[in-house]
Amino acid sequence: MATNSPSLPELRNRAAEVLNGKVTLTVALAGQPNVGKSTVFNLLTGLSQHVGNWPGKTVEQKTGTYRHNGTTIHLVDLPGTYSLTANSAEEVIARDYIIQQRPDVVVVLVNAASLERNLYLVAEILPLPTKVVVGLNMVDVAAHEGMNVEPQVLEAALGVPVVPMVASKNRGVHQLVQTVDRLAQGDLPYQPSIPEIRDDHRQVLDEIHRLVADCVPEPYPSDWIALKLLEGDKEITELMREQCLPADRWDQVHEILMAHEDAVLAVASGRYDWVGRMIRAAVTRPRAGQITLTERLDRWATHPLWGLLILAAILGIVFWLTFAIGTPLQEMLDVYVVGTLASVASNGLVAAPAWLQSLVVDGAIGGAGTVITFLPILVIFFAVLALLEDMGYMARAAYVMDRFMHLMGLHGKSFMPLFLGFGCNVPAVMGSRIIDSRRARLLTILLAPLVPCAARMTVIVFITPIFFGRAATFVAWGLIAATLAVLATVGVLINKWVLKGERAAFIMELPLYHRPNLRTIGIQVWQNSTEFLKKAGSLILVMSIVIWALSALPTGDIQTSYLASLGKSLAPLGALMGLNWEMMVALLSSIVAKENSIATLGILFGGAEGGGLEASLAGVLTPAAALAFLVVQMLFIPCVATVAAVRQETKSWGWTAFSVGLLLVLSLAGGIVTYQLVSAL
Amino acid sequence: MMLEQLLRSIAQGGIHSYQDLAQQLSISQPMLEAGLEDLARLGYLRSIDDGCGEQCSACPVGHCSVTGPGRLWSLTEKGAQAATRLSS
Repeated sequence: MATNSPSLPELRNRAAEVLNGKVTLTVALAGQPNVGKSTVFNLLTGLSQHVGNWPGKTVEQKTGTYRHNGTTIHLVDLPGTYSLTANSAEEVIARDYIIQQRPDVVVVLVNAASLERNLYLVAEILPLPTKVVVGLNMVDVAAHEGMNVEPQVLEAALGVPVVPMVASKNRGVHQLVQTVDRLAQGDLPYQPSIPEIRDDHRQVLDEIHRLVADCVPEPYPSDWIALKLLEGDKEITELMREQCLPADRWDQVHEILMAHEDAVLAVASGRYDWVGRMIRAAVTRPRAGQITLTERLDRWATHPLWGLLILAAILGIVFWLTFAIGTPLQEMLDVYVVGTLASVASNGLVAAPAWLQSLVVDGAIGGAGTVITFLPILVIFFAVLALLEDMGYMARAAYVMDRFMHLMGLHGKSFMPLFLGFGCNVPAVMGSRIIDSRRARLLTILLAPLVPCAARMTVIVFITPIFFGRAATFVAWGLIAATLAVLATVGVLINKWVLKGERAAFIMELPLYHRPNLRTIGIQVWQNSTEFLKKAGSLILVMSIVIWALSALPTGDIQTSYLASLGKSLAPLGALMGLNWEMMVALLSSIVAKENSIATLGILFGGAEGGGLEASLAGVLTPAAALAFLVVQMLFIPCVATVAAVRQETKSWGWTAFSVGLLLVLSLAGGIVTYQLVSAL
Repeated sequence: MMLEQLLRSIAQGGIHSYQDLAQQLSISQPMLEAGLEDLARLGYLRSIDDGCGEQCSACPVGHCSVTGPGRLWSLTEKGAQAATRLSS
C-alpha cells in the first residue's frame, strides 16, 4: 500500500511555519475530473505552487499555500476521481491521502449541473475521518440549464457546509476560504448525513465488522474497512488477507463475501438512494419544452410500426434528394469538368508519347476524375447523415429496428451488432464481441459484411439512375429493403438454431431532438468532403493508375491486355448475369474499396470523354444486367478494412477465407438469379 | 435498490432507451446515466458501438457510428449472471 507522505518542499514549508510560531492548516481539494478543481487551486495558491509526483506514482501532485486571517493553509490538490474504489491509481491516492494524512478539511468540489454524478463521490468521502466542505461549483451552468439548486437546502440535507460558486468567474471562492477556516476552527456545525448500507445487508456488514475490527491497522477506520471488503475492493481485500487477518478469520470473512458476491450493488445502491434523497431535497428541474417535444416525436419515431415506416420514408427521401439534386450535378461535372479536362489534357499532350497521353487521360482523369464527380452526391449524402445525426434521429433508426424484432419475439443478440454496420461494416464485426457463444459470434461476423455500408450505397446511388431513371429511388430503396429482409431472416434463423432463444438486452441513449445547427452540419460535410477528395487524389488515383497499367500492358491495346485476360477468364460467369468482362473487372476492383469499381468503369469505358460514363454504360448493359450488377455489389466481398476486422475478430485465416468465399458465392448466386428472373419477365 | 432494479429491468431483454428506464425506475435521467456508468465500471455492462477507429481510415465515405452521440450498452456475462441471481 502506497503511503502519501508530504513532499520535501511541503515539509520544509511546514517546518518554517512551525518555527515562526504560525498556525497552519492542511486542506485537500477533491472532486471528479472537469469540475473546476484546477481553477480553484490556481486562484487560491497563485504562484506559491509546487508540482511533482505522488510518492511512488506517475500521477501529478500539486500543492500550494495561501493565507487567511493569519493562518497559513497548505492546499493539496487530490487527483480527479469519480469514486474512491481502487479502480485506478488516482482513486487509491485520493483515499489514502485522506485516511493517512488526515487533512483538517477536505473541500469536495461538485458540478451543480451534474449533481447526480458528483454527489456519489461526496457519499464516499463523508464516512472518512475528516471534515468536508462542499464547493457547489458551476451554479451558473445549472441555472442556464433550467435547474434550481438550493444551496441552503442541500447544506441542511448533507449536514455539512455548502458554498455556491462560479470558480471560472472567481465568484464564491472567498466564501469558500472563510467557510473552510470557520469549519476548521469549529465555528460551524458539522453533522454529516452519512449514507447507510441497505437494511438487507446491514447484518452482513456488522458480521464482517465484528470479524475484522480488532485486526484493522492504524489509521484505517474499521467500519470503512468492513464496507470496502463487502464491496470487493481489491486493495483492501489484499491488505487484510495478506497482512492483517489470521488465516482462520480470513476464511470466515471470505465465506461471507462469497455468499454475497453482488453486495457491491447493495453498497452502491445505498449511496445512490442517499444521492437521490439529496437531489429530491435540493434540486428542482423544470420539465423543459425540449423534453416534451422529444417525447412527443418519439411516440411516432420509436413506435414499432410507425417508427419503421418513418425510417423507410426517410431512407426513400435520402435517395430521392440524392437523385434529384446530386445526380444532375454529378453528370454536369462529368461532362463539363472531367470531359473538358480530358480534352485539354489530350490537346496539351498531343506531342507526348501515346502511353503518357493514355495514362493521364484514361488512367488518372478517367479513373480518379470520374470518382471525383461523386462529390455532389456525397455532399448531399453527408449533409443528410449529419442533419439526421445532429437532430438526434440516427440512434432511433437502430432502436426502432431492434424493438420491432423484439416485439416479433426475436430477442437475438445478433441484430444490434448487425445494425451497427450501416455506416461501416467494421463496427458490425467488432460489435459481435457482445455475443458470448463462439458459434453465434462467428455467424454474426460472417453476416456483418452483408449490411449495406455507406460506400456500397454510394455505388448504388451512382449506378441506379443510369438505368432506371425516374424509378431509381424505388430500385435503390428496394435493394436496401431486400438486403434488410435477408439480414432479418438470417438473424431469425441464427436466433432459433444457434442462440436458441437466448435473450439479449441493450440500453441505448436516445439524445434529445433539437434544431439542427447548420454550422455543425457544414463543418462535418466540409471535413468529410475534403477527406474524400484527398483519398481520391491519393489512394484512388494510385489504384486508377494500376488498373490503367493492367489495361494497357503489354501491347497497348485494351482487348489484349492483362486486365482483359483476367476479365475474359471471368466472362463465362459474367454471361450468366449479363455482364461483360469489363463489368467483372470493375466488380473485382471493388474489393480494395467499393468506389474503385466506378474508377475502373471510368477507365475501361473511356467515360471521361464525349457523352460520359453514363452514356457508355447504358449502351453495354441491359437493365436486368445492371440490376444483377447492383445485387452483386450489395452482397460482394467487403472492403479490405472489413476483411482485416474479420481476421482480427475470428483470429483465423481459415474463417476469414471462408467469409470471403461465402460472400463471393452468395453475391454471384444473387446476381445470376436476379438476371435470369428479370430477363424472363 | 437502484442498481439492482436497473440490472433486473435491463435483463428482461430487448432494447431499452434511457427515457424508458428512468421512467420505469422513477429516477431522473442523469441519475440513470450515473448508474449505468457505475455498472459498467463494476463490470456488469459494457459499451458497444465504439466506431471503427483507424481501420476505416482508407474509406472515404464510411460513417462509423449509427448511434451518433448516444451511447449503447449491453449486459456482460457477469451482469447477466447477477441479474439471474437477483431475479431468483
